[in-house]
Amino acid sequence: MRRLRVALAAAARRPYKDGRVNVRPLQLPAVRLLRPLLAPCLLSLAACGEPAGPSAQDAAQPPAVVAIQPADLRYDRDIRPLLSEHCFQCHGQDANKRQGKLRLDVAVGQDGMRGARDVLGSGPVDQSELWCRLSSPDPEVHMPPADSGKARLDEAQTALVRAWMDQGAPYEPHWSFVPPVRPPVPAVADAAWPANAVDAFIAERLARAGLRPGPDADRATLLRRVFLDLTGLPPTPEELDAFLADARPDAYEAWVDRLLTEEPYRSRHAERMAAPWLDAARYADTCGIHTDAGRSLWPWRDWVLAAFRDQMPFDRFVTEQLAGDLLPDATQAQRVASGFNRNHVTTDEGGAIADEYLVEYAVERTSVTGSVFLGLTLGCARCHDHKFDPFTQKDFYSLYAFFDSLEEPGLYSQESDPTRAFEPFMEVPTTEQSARVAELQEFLQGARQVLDAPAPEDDAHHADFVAALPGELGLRWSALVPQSARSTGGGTLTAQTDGSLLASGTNPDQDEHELVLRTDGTGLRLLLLEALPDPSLPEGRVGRAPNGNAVLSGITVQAAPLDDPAASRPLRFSWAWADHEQADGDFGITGALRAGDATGWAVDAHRRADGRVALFLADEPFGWPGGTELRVTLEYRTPYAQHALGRVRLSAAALDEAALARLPVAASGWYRVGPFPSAGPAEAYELAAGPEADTLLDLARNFGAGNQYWTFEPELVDGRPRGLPPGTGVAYVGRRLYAPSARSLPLSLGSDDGLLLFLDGVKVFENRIDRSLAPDQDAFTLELPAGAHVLVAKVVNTGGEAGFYHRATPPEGELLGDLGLALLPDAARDSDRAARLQEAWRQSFSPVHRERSARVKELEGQLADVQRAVPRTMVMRELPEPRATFVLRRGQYDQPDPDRPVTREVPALLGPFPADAPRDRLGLARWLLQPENPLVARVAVNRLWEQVFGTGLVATSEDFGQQGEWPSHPELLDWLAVELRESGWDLSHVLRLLVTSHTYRQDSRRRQQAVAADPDNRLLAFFPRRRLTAEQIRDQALYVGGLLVEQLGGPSVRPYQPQGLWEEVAMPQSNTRVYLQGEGKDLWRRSLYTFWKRASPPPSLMTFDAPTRETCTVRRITTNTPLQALVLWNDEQFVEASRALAARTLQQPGDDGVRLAQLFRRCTGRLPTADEGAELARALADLRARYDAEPDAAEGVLALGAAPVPMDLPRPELAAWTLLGNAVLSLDATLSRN
Amino acid sequence: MDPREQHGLDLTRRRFLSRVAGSAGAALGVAALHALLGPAARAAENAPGPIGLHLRPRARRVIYLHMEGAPSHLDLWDWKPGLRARFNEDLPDSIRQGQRLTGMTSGQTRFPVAPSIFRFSRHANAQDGVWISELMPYTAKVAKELCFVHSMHTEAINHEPGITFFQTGHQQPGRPSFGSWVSYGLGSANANLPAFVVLITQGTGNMQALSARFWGSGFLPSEHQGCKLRAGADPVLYLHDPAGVRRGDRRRLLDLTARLDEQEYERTLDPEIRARIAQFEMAHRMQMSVPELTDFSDEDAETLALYGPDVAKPGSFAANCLLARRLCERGVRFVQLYMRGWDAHNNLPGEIRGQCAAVDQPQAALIADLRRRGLLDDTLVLWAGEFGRTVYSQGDLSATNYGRDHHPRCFTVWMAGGGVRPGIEFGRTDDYGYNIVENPVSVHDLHATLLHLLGLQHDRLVWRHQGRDFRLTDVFGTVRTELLA
Repeated sequence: MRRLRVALAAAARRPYKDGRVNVRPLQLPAVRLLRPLLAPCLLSLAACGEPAGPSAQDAAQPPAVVAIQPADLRYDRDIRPLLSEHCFQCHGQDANKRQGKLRLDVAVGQDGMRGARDVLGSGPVDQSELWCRLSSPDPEVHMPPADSGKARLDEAQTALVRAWMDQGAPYEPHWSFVPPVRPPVPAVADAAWPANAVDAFIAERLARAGLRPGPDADRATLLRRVFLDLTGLPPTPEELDAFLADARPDAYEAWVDRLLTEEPYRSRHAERMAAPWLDAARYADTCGIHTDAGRSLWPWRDWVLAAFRDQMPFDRFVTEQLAGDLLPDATQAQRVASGFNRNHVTTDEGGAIADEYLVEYAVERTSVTGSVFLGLTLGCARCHDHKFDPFTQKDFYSLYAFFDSLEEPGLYSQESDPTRAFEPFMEVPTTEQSARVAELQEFLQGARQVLDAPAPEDDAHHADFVAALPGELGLRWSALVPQSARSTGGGTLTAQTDGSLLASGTNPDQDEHELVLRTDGTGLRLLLLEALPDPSLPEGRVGRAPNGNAVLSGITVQAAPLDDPAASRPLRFSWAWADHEQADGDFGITGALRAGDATGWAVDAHRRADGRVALFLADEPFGWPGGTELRVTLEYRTPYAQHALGRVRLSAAALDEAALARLPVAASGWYRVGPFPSAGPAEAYELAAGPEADTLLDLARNFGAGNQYWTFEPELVDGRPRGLPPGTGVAYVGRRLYAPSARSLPLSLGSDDGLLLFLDGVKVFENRIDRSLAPDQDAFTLELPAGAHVLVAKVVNTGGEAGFYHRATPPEGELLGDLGLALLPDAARDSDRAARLQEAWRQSFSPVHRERSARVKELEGQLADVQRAVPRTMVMRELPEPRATFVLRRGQYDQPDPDRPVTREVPALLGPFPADAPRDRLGLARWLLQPENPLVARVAVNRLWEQVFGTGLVATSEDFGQQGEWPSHPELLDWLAVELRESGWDLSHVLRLLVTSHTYRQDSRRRQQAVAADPDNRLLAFFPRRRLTAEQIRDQALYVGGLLVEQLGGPSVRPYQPQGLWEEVAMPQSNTRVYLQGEGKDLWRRSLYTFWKRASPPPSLMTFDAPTRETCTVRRITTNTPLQALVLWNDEQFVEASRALAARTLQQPGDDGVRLAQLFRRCTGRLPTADEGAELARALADLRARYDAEPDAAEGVLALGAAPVPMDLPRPELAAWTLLGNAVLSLDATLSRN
Repeated sequence: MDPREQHGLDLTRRRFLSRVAGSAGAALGVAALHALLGPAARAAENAPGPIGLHLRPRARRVIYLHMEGAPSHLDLWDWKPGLRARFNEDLPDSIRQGQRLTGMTSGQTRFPVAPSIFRFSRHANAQDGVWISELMPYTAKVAKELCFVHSMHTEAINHEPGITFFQTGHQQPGRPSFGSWVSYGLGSANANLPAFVVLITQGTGNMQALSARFWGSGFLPSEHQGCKLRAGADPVLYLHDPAGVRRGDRRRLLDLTARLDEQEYERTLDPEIRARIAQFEMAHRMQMSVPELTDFSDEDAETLALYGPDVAKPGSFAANCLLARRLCERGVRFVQLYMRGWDAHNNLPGEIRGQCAAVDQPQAALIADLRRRGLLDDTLVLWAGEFGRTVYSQGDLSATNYGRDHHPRCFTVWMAGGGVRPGIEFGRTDDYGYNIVENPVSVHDLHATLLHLLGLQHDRLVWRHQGRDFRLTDVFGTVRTELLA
């Protein structure tokens, strides 16, 4: 057979494993390494054929010289990557882009399409079209064409393809789409070397490359290595000593077992394993877009930690995260697990279009499922058929259909609570919380039964009250008789027999109803408006809007004596009451007291049928002897179109002046403006942003500083403490008050921190104080003249959280709430209103009820307290009916293709959907985990391999498709994949195989011969040394300093962070605008608990290559930058850790030499050499001299960090050791694992 | 050491360094590579970066002034005199064409035309003059340098996807930003500063959110992410040593770690260690160079006056413009300045006055200053928001007040220097400033054109990620040669 000898210094264009596309030697597994002696005669090809452009630096690379025998040629490994890279874009499986009715990804075409063998033909290869296209010098003929952006195959590549053609162009399926079968473990010449099957594969492959395994690492290095790999933390000197003293042959294996199964190592192991999973699952503590609101998903993280700690089998791990909510009788934990698919970014941007984001979220879940479990880039098929892998756009949307029927809004509301869980969510009570809630609910049920039990003695009292009240108040009702009426918007108002006016006909967006009415009454003060339902109105409700609702924006009245129309005068109303107000905005009745602004009384009629009543109190009595004409204008001018009342009746009543004291103060809702940041706490009190002088509460007024307006604060309710946005400065809350008569109103107040009150622009109360918010901190009596007022509270925050609390305690006897129903004429009090009045009377005046209700209130309060503390977490929850799913043209949310509906289906190539499985995510999980699935187990073991050896057996661990890399050890990968599945999906079992292999125990010194043959050390002739991850670097520093606070799980914490980072980027209304640094142990938890704000991720972790967590990251790239040095030197966290390390070293007995060795060993796991010891000693001497001479400078070194500084240590000495400790913490030997 | 082993190591080291320069360590960049390889390898400032230049570059660096929140093209650059007569008329359906609206105005029943209340006047340029709003008097004076594109359009209608699209060529998070691509393509030209620097100015108008993703490196190695230079004591995070550590102390510590690291290298032969030694040295130099950079005391009084009184306020737009010039002088490749506060949904006249007062003089000063120092020829300045604003009023329209919603269908950006055709206007919108009627330019086109000026071919500046070659221009983009000088 003809030997084909190819020099491949500049062979196949392949991706760098870190993504940069460039030219490099063909990957080792693809070709056989030749002995270097062959090199000279083959070098000449090395320089040929490369296009200009991005390749300059490769000239420095040593050529790898290779040869291939035709017998070894494999389509899948050697040919398809070339065709995929150069040809498939136009001649692949994407039908839309296919040119010339030719596809080269199949041997024989169908349906008029030609395949590779069709263009190879049966004649001589030299004359085939396939060969001509590849080899022709004519640019018109040659493929790929010059304008395709694809490079030509170079000489070596062309030779490979020619060899393949000579064999008749054999095809085989892509390796990763064929289910793995356990291969035989190869025999190895040195049978003593392999510790397990892993080693046999490694040694056999090394031997084929002419290499041998390297020497073993020393035991201390090995122990530190395995500690860091399995637990993320290094061994202590004590643990090292114990291991070094342990002469048992299986001492190492015993330690591996301990690390995986014994506390505290087991929990540490869970934390170590969780970190990369959080990257893959894109976990974060904020939503990521617009206000980047905080959200609660950490119970899902706790679930991940528990799963790793308890060594949950991988099949359960996958199933519960994909479909925990769908499991029969799902446990709380299983539903929490489904939060995996809620980790993606979401938007709360005001103008966003919900449908668009619903698509984005489902696309994201589909793509992440592809990346994480299948190692496939399915997202590529969102807009068109996949260019490289055999997946169509329809395949994508068929899979997407499993993920697009979640009960979620596409656009989330903005709320001020940063610990909110976005819907759908669930509560995750602890066992104690659940028990306490159940207990309290039982008590409460009992107390409510008692409350509702009849109290016959009350009935008579109530009847007396109702009967006596009109007399007490001088209440006398008079009818108002309609004379005429008109709608300015063109509607028709018709008088009814009951004295009401019914609207019909035209229903304009905005309207005024002008009514002319007459009465004989005198001394009138109250005006009663009855909004009546009518069958002619929408849904038979009271309003004219299509949903039956109405909003009254104002009422004005002009009154004139019948006998002297010229004496007409306007009535002014500055008090009102209504029997019902809509609760989801500032829709109270007082909104109707001011005509001309957009606020008004909304009657909530789209939710509640029946009539409404409202009372308005005139400032002066009206009604002349001889009769009075009233011209009443009901104004409906709000942004809510057509929201007019449909049928209205008016009456009026006289009232004694003294009765006014029985009417309670009416109020608008609370509004907020601010916070306005101040330069510091001291300046906060002096800051006057303007609202303190406000006498109108003008909603259109711009207070500047980023455009701040009074905005309604729905969550601020009397009697409930309310947080305000944090940060040093001032915030204002204000409302309008309406007093029927002059009175004193006792207020009970609370605030964080200081509080000032302004009534109509005049300061009436001030308390300068630093405190946390609580109810009833200040008592103050507000003196209110009769009429309308504006009350503004200025809340001064001197740092951290802010908040406000307010409660008014009106005097006994006032007609609060539904007691107002007692004022109505009997005819207006139907049975429902009578019952409500009786209940209100009971609440206010019945001693029996008071006692019973106090008990209920107490229990409700306790229950609310417990429930508030219950964590919530975001979960998956399906809609009752799945959404209809279509292929989206070009992936656009608003372009569903009605001709291409899809159902929930999986790519058949990867195995059939189990016949008896449900067509939902649960079935999908079963499909993934069935033995026919070729990818899931391979992808999982590959990730473990990557975690331990730095690079996966498939280097592109996120892409096992045809553009991904050929595995360095295909048989080993398959062996491990089968081993994982057959072990019952036991990840720890596989991990144990890896770290107890002899391969893992090798020394990490680079071996020259191995590096020359295998520059990337993919064959593992020595152990791959690697820098620690961002989390490991910080955690190790805390640990060796003795600062690390170990506690598995819990909400995220806020350790040290430079000031102002969040404020720089956040929106004023963001609930994660201000970074509130934690205290105490929050500063020293492991890094995976650090609060992750996506718009401003933890800066020191980012510097060490943590991803932003906006998208799924399966593989981090490790960089080496100057900013990393700055973090190590100057981040408060590292300076503090250095000081703690120094302090604990100085607290140990021994001279400098002993202590230096101890410090060095804590960080690096080994003792310093004599040279290193001498360097350290010299540096210590210099630093000591420096700080002894300048004790003030020592204070500067010791000032950072909240950890206590031991007082018994000499300060200059501690400063010198602190800097020395910092230097050791930043040594490469500390930052890497050897 | 055995000479043969040394030889092998040199080979692998060079291989390693070439890899580092290309991928895993370009912040160490060309200059650090020189330091490691010795004088022979040192090259001029414009040595190709990791990718190497595809074309002859016209620009060596970019200053990108991003007006975050989207300024109104109608009130600043794209004058529509005919609208005065159409005050409060309904926008004709023939103009609106029923395209999608944001959730903020989609419920509006009327779309009343709101003509700009600001006066425009004509300023000489290379064509027959350009009409510029009275809000930008200083900028009008450098009109001869400016290349206006009135026919920009974008795909997004909201800020987050809009800015993400403008910065990364894609609306959803996850892709590298413009500056990161340039850093990857060109590398750094200064051993002591990052290649891509971000500056932020807080505005006075309605502010939208910023996000680290806007200058993030996506799937590119993280050294290509924008380095935020902050106003205040620590311009680069963690730059300053703790009190009590003097420069000499740091030097002493650095010597210690270098010697110990060198021994670790001897022990392991891991080339990453030598790279780290070099990185630590660069960090030490940054501790000097950054404070020098942010200290304006070496600027003469005339220069400071040129930028206006705010230049003395760290973090102001004026101070950041001057800082941008100083960064360019020091070889930084990409300076991105964010000016927040342009999102004028209500009260546009009041808000835009404040915003323009902050940016007008400094941005004109930046152009003039670059020009007189000979830097404008190879420095490309881009001024752009993420989209435009609607001609119809959002909320109440009165003779003196109106608001404008987001408008992706057309808006104006301008460029100066760096091989851009000076003094021209390109593209045209209809009489309502609502639709493009001539020469539409997409964001991808703009990116392609800017990369072209930097000597990079947009369809060859790629990164293989998840099996696909990604680029800033996605699968789109045309170099608009009409914009080139």
